[in-house]
Amino acid sequence: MTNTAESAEPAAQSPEDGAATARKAGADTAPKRRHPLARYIIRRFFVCVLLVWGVGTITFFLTNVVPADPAAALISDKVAKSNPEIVAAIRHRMGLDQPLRVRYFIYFRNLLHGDLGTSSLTTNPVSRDLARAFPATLELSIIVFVLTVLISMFLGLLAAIHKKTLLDKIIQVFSLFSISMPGFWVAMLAFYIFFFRLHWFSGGGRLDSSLVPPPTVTGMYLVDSLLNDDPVAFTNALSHIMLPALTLTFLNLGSLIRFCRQSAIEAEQSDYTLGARAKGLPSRTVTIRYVFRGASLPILNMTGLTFGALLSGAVLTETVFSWHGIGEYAYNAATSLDLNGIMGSGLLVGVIYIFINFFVDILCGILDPRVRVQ
Amino acid sequence: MRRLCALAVSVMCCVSLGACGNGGNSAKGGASKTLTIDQTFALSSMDPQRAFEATGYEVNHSVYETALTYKGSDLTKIEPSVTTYKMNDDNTVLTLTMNGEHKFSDGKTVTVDDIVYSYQRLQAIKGNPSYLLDGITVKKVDDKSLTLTAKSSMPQMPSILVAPPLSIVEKSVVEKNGGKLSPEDGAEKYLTDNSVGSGPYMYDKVATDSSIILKRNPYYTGDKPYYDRIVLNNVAATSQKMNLEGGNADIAENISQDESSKMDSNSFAKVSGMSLSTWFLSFNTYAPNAGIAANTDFVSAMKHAIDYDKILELIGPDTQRPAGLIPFSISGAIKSDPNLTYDPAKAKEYLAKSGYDGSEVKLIYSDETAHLSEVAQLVQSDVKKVGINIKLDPQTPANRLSQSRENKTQISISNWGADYPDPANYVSFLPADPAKDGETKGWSYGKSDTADAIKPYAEAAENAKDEDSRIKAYEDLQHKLDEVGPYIPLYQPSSFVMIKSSLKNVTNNGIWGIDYAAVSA
Repeated sequence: MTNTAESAEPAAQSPEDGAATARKAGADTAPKRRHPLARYIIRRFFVCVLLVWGVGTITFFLTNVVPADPAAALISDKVAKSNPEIVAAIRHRMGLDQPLRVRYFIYFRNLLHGDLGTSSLTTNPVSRDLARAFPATLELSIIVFVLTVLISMFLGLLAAIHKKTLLDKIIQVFSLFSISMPGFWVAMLAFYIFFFRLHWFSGGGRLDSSLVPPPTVTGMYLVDSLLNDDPVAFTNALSHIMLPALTLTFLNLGSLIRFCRQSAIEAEQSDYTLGARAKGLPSRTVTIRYVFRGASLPILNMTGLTFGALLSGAVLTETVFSWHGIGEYAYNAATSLDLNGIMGSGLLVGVIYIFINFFVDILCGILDPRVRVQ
Repeated sequence: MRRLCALAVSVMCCVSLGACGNGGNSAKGGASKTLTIDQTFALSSMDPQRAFEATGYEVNHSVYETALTYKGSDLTKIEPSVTTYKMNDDNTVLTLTMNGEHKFSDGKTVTVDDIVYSYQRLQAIKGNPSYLLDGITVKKVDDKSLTLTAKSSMPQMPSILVAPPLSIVEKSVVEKNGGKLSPEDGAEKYLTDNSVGSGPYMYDKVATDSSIILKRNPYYTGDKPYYDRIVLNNVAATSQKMNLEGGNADIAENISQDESSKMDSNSFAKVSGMSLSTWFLSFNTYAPNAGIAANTDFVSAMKHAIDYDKILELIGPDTQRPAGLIPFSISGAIKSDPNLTYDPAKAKEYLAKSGYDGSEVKLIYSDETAHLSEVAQLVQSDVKKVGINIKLDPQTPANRLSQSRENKTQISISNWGADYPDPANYVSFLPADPAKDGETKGWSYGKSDTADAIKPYAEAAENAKDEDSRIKAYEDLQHKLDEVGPYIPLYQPSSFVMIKSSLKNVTNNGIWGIDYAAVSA
């Protein structure tokens, strides 16, 4: 008898088996599917984490090697002269008696637990101070961002569409004013004219002193007053925020208007736009679906940077309007040599920029497939 | 484009809504009487036994009580508060006896144990104000009294007890929240957010870099204050005038003389008080860093080269110039001294003796204090006329302090504000005593002829028994300091605040500023 296992011819396959075999054969040989966007996001995220560590390290060393003694601001002349044990106790409390490398290690170890140290200026944990100050800046930044983007895109597109006309020139001059004027001066002028002279808006601070702030949910008075059904606090908070918001909007408009205009002009002169016009599409359709869309990517990048800058806090504007946000906190920390406050603010600003760029990059990847493939 | 226009119109509507949102009482907040004060904060801690700056003093004066006090802005007469006092004949033992009933903000009664604990905590935690009770032993006698015993005659003890760091805290609460009689005391954080005092107000919300809100202490046993709430806002000096005139604030504490003179005198009033702060030039005596600034003839040249009247004119009306470092309104202040007269010819003589070679000498000062840059420029131009080249070096306050403490400066513009109104508070200007303070690079006995020349005068002032001989001893000490010391007193500014004319009983005390509980409308 022959070995049928070795020499037997393959059994004839049914059509169903054949199809299954063919599918299996097809599956084995088809190219693997790629997920470029997911890989792009993961890669960028890890880069962000490394960047945060880098920012933290640079901030730490720059802050700790300044040629000034941060304890000096907290020690009186009498004590500094004749009570060395008090000086030693204060320095020990601030951790200044440790070598730099030990302080670096302690700082990052605590950072991993979310502990940014204690502010020598406020005696609060820095994380708590930043959590208190950040909503004030966030609230202001969101309003400024929305106003800035809307107005600058409107004016930028308008200028691009009416290129080289009188309207274009007016818009360009306006943008030059916005870029050129010093922020502190504009803030003082706005405060003087619109609050002091015209009484159109409320003065400094986030709320009238006679009003009790709404219970904290987000820390943003506008949101919290709505959540707590307090229309008086809402309108009062709105009245207080509008003047610094309009001031900051004015100061940020100029560069964004010019950028929007330039991007729109480049998009309008691109081949796909010319092609669309050649096809006979209506002008409005070309503007919205080709020019606007084509210009959106670079504008998106620019607005991301603008939002990052706003979230970092505008020191001069916050100071003039007594808007106790991140900018003012960082300034007070710097002038008082509050090392933990300086490092915490610096790290926060760095993280904000890093992650805003991260999200902008992801958005670009979503909007423009060419980015993720690259 | 149409959609963008619609969005733009919506935004304009929001802006208009914001413009209409002025004022009004919150339905949640009720119609409470609120006093709003704008101040540029000087604050490092709200813990009463650690607070050492103007803002901390002012706030804590209204939140905590002290054993003794002053009435209004009169610093000449000590009044009983939580206790009465009696000093023994040789000024070494001060006996305090409870004076009526006082209650903390949680309703508990203030006891002798609380007072003893507060003073011992001040000594033990080694904070900035701890030196105030150096060399004093605090002891409970019975449930009604305690004693403070000094090692040597200390007539200034009652004055010290008025200072806000001697505030009385509730022992049980502080201990429960980390309070210890040692530098490891952990109650500072709790005391920054929560008050444990028996004063007319208590903390409601504290953000030490932006605003401090006080509310009534419901258990306060004294006269009920007029205002329900006190809101103290940290506002830049440049914005305070507009805030006050625009109705955003009731009191502004940091408006400059120039700005105040332009305000409507019908609507706003100035409340003045003599500040206890003296501004002076200080010369580093550590020769390796100070160079020519450590030379006594050079210092004498500077003393005669400055036109002091011009500085007074610059700072403004009500500014005075004591001839020593002790300001007027504290006993022992002197009006004039022959070593501090404007005499360019004499200045040139001293300069020639000093061997000065014309090189630049740095003058460091804080760039955040009103008028200081003008004062520095005035000094620079005055001394230039006799041949001294000054280079101006503005710094942040923290940097200036840091460099001064490390003896890295040559000349600096400094100030000293009294913690209590007694000349003994000014002994920090005396040379260091290596026997007590250890070795130091600064001016100290045994290392400098000028320091040794001061020593007998310092000892006489410290050991003087009765008030008249004390005053004479401090006057002589200051004359000697003017002759050989490394200081040039420049001016004592007036201290004033601007208020709405509708306010009443606003006093400006040289130690703690405004007494919120006394203010009414």
